[in-house]
Amino acid sequence: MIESNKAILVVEDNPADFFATERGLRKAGLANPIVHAESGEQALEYLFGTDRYAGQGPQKPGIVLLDINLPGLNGGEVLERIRAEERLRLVPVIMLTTSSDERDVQMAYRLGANSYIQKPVDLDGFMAALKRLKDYWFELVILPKT
Amino acid sequence: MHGTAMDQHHGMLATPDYRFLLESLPGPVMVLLPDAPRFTIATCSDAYLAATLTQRAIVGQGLFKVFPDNPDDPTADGVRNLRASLERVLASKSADTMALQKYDVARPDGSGFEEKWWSPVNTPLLENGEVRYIIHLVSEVTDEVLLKRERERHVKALAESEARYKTLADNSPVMIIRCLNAPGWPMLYMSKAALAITGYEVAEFIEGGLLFGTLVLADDIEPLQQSIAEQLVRGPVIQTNFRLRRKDVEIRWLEGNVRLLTLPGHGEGYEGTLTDITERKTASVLLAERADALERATIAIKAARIAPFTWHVARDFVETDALGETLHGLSAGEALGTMASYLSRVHPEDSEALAASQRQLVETRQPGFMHEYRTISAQGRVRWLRSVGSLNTDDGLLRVTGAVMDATIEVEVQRALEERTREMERANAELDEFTYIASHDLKEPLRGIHNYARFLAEDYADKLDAGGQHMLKAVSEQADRMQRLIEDLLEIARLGREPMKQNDIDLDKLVDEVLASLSFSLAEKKVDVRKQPLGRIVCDRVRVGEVFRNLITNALKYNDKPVPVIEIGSRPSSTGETEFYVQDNGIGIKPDFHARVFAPFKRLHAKDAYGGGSGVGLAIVKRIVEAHGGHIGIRSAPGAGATFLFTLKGEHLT
Repeated sequence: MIESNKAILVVEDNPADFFATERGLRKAGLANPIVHAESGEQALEYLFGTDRYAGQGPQKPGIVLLDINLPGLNGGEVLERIRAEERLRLVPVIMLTTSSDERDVQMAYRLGANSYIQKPVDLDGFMAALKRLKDYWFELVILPKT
Repeated sequence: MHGTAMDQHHGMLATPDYRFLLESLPGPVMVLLPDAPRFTIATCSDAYLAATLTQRAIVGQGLFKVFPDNPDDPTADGVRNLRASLERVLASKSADTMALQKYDVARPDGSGFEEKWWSPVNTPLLENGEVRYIIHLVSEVTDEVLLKRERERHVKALAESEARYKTLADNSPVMIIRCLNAPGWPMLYMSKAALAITGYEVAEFIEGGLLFGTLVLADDIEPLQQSIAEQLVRGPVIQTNFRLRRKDVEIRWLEGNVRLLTLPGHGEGYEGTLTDITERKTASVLLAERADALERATIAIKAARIAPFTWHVARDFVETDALGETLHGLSAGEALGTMASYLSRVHPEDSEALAASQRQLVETRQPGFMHEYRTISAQGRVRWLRSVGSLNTDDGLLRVTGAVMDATIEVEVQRALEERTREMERANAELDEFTYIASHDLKEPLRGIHNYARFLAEDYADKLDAGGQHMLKAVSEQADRMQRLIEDLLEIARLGREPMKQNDIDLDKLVDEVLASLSFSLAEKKVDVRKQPLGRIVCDRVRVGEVFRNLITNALKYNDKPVPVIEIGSRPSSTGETEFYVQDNGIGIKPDFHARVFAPFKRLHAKDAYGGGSGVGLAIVKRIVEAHGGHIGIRSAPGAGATFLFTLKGEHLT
């Protein structure tokens, strides 16, 4: 499980999707801080404490919800950088994307994603998915302490 | 001397009266003494001496000393027969007529014996009951015998020759005929070949009265008669060609060689031969046709600008005509020469491949080839040539013979066409890719609109009045509709990107499943579904399921009857393929719109009429059918229902 003080990093370029994701997570009852990165670059700046996050130093969120189709660096490249960093190796990364392309699924797991979820098209489905995501990652699963 | 003594002894015989009597007898005569076994010659007529080639000195000598048997004739029995006859005369004291005798006589010059035939009569001359003399009267029949023998020989030779001739005639493929010069040419004689040539037995003509003229082809009778008439002006010998209908109705060509003559006891007639020349005629016709074909081919080759060539492998020489030389970029008078020099005329990019395939041709003795290669002229003109030919070893000399033609335009057009096709395929693929990505990208903001409308409704419902809530609902509905349109567009794009699967599908089972999934709507509208057997076909199960689903849904949707009837079945099309159909008794479609219904987003009715729909269903159906190599069409008129017919290229099993 992920402790309630640990941040949730949501890498999502679509503001509407981020809005729905945040709403879904809150509705599922999570009180964790939610950090929104609108691009892969911004996500890495946050994780490594550079550029606009230079002041707060490297961050280690409790979980990362990572979209694949992103402007600039795509989800795969972000995932690669996360897994290449020893400090972030064990952070759960959940791919949350509209793509169900087999090549994307293969790529994600190969690069070390912990899970791959296709965003349900309808809102109710999406909300339900986020609820199940919370139930699993924030309650059911046992994760390494560090 | 001896004879003289005898004459003296039988003085009576020597008196002039006796002599006169003797000489007057018809035929040669000899008088013998009955002194058997000597039988002394008492006297004889001069005629006897002449007939036996002897002199008067024989008188007084023993008969058989003077006339021994011919020692050269082992069958000679003259002596024996004559002695026996004389003995009989002595014993019976009566005349003895001998059968015709061969009794040769010695020639006086000692050159052997001469054949003589005799008809003798021996008569006793009695005195006081005793035989005083024997009169040997002969008539020489040598000439008659020899003549008769000669005649017999002739007759035999004639018979033999006739038999030989008949055998020859009967076994000859040539029919020998004798016929009257009368209408229909009644036959007097025909050799056995008549059966082979006409199919009728000889007896059918000769005894059965079958007229030969009735077998001649009607078209040929008049020319035949005319030809005979024309030839008769020049002489009695006639040669004709005409066709004859055999008994088995086969038509044969005959050649007649006959002579007009007077047939004893019959009057004017023809005698000669008829020969079946069908094979010869056919051969000559074939030959003429072959000559024609050759001429046509030569003209065609010239017109088509095809150059023949021969590569004499053993002496390494490539031979062609002036056109061939031009095509290979040679100037007038320059020869192609060796294979190496020929290859040097070939475009460097093609020469290696050409050389390799020529080598392979000779090594593997492969019978035929087709090559396309370029040549460059001295002026730098590049031509595409196509050479077609084969390996020829008929006479033991290895040759490659063939023809070469300028294929530049064809190859360029072909290449342009291939390039265009590739470009079109690329463009199509790009369009599909674009449509896919675009619709994908369109979905995200749409979902945003949809979601915000929901959030707005959830969070701010109490702050909106009825009008505001209605508008919010409309935003949501519009977003939903657009969502469906995009989904359909994605589906069409996907059909262009993904190949159809090829599985053996039980269509009856598939359509039953489709009907089951639609069972609620079907029951609600009380539809009478009539499904005929559909069989199995190799196709993409999911896609073909979509085709049936769309067509059935369509038939259901555009129907205003109290009891909609939908019939699903298959039947052989006019082209021999299997045609599947979905037929309804619905509102029908005007013929003007038949082509348009398959265009994407083309609707024939208001958006909300007949249950709405994106207008892409039939476009998807068409794309699936075409992706299977089939085609789709409609038969319909307003108010008369509609029948959608489609084929799938896969192998169909009923």
